[in-house]
Amino acid sequence: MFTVIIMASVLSWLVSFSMSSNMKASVNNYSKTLTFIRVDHYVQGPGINNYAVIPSNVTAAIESLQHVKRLHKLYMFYIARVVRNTNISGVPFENLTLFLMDSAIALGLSETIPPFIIDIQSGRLPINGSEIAITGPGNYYKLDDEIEVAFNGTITKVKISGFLTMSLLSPVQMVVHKDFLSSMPGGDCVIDEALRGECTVLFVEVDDIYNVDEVLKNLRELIGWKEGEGWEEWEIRDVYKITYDEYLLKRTLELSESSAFVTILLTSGALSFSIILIMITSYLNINIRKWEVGLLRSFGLSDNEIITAYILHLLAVTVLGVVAAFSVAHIVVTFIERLLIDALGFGNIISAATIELTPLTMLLTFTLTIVIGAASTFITVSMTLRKPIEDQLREF
Amino acid sequence: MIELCDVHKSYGAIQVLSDINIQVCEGECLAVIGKSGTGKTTLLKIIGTLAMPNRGTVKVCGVDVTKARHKELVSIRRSIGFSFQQSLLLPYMTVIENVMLTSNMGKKEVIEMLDFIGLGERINHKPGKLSEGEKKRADLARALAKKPRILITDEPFSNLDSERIEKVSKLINDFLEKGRTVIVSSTSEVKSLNITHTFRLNKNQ
Repeated sequence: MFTVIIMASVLSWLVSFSMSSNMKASVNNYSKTLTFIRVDHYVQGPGINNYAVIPSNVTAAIESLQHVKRLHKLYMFYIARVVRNTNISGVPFENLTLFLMDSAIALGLSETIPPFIIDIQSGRLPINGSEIAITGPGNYYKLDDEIEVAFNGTITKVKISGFLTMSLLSPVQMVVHKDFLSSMPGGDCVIDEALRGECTVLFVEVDDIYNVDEVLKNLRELIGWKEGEGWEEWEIRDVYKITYDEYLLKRTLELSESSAFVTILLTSGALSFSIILIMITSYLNINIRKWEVGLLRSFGLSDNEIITAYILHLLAVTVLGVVAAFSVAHIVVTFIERLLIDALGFGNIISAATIELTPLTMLLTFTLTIVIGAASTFITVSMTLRKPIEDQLREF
Repeated sequence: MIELCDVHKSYGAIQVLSDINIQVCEGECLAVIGKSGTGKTTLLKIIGTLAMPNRGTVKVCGVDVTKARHKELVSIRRSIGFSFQQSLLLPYMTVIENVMLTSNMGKKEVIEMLDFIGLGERINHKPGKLSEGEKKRADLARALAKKPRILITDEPFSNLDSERIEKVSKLINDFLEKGRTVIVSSTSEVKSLNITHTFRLNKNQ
């Protein structure tokens, strides 16, 4: 029976984990969507002139949203233009979030620039194009992977850290955080002297996922894309207008909202299930051992002491459940992530709608389980204590 | 020490005990003798405050348990060591853990006692692996290890051979010699114990 209780506890914990993480993901998606809308303001306002300054959480939101949109055949095209100021070349790399390269102008699947990776081992931003390692298209990696790349004409092993092509559709993004720049010696000068750069994001609904190239072509026409040998340009203002087309924006928000609500709905179901499971577990735990309560009373334990003992027991079982569920969840999530990356080619999908075993998530679910478990234990034991001892002992 | 006055107990329409009057002083040993189904266990439970009479008064350590508050009952139960007829041992604990659960003795003393009654090699076994006689002795050891003022033991010699009966009797007699009170039930005369009073229960009493 003890095993059953442990298993039930583990199960309820798993549900709790998925519940809390889903809740978190949905709320984040929603809020990130709002943050994302402000991106352009931020760039246009007091941000870094030369570099599009996008807080890392916003960039993450874009990635996250992209996953959601993919499910709805809504593709995100990240259109950006940044004129890179050479003043920033070679600055130390640590604490950087993402840095948008001028050559990293990429539009969806048709990006002509293959995914590329910057060697961060040198601990600074690349000084010139030769420091950009190019990998073949169609390769997907995750953070901390070590890969061999052509680097400065030689094959070099580099560790991916912080940025790479996140999915089939997103371009390589690198954005220097404004705070970081400000904190750098001479960083303020870099900000002041740099040229204005702009970036924005455009969502386009694509009915036929195999027709993205055609959509891209149309988009380029819309934004006045011009290119020649070694150069390319387009009207930033046009991009701005198209990006904030009301229909597209509205559509995007609607999708985000509906996704969030569906997730919250599912989460509520999981939450209810989890609560019921924990309550049933607590109830069974005590009810099948009524005689034990009677025995403890016969020893001379007071009602409060008995309730405390059972709640402490629940706590111990819950801690075991946490450890077990955390381990199982970690293995399962790692497996799924691996499967998605290796078999299906989705990179970093975990940031979109997956289990996030953060300390806060753990603390919340742990607290929730304890509170529900303690409450149901308290009620069940209190009800049992109302009965005469001899009735309880008869249950043996 | 223990005083029962005009105690009646029935379960629904079935009358188990009626008009019971008993008085036991400190340091005395009362044997409750009766055939199966005569209400010995019920009487012991009433004395042990584990069951309440339908009528009459029960005084234990000067407190009328029928009117006692929760705190008083808890206090009385702490001064009683109850050895059950069915040997209520917690199944997920070993013998030593069960005995130590409410023990006021040191572990060494408990092990010595268990060894004396033939459970020395069984201390780390769980109740599921014990025979009925062994469970019975472990249950009694738990009650004694509590160092109670009153020991109530329900048919302590059932499932025991003569050698074990002798050893268990010695433990109970030693307990009595310390000036403690013992209530013991049995289906037949208990000759191995230093009985002070005998109370016989008949079917319709």
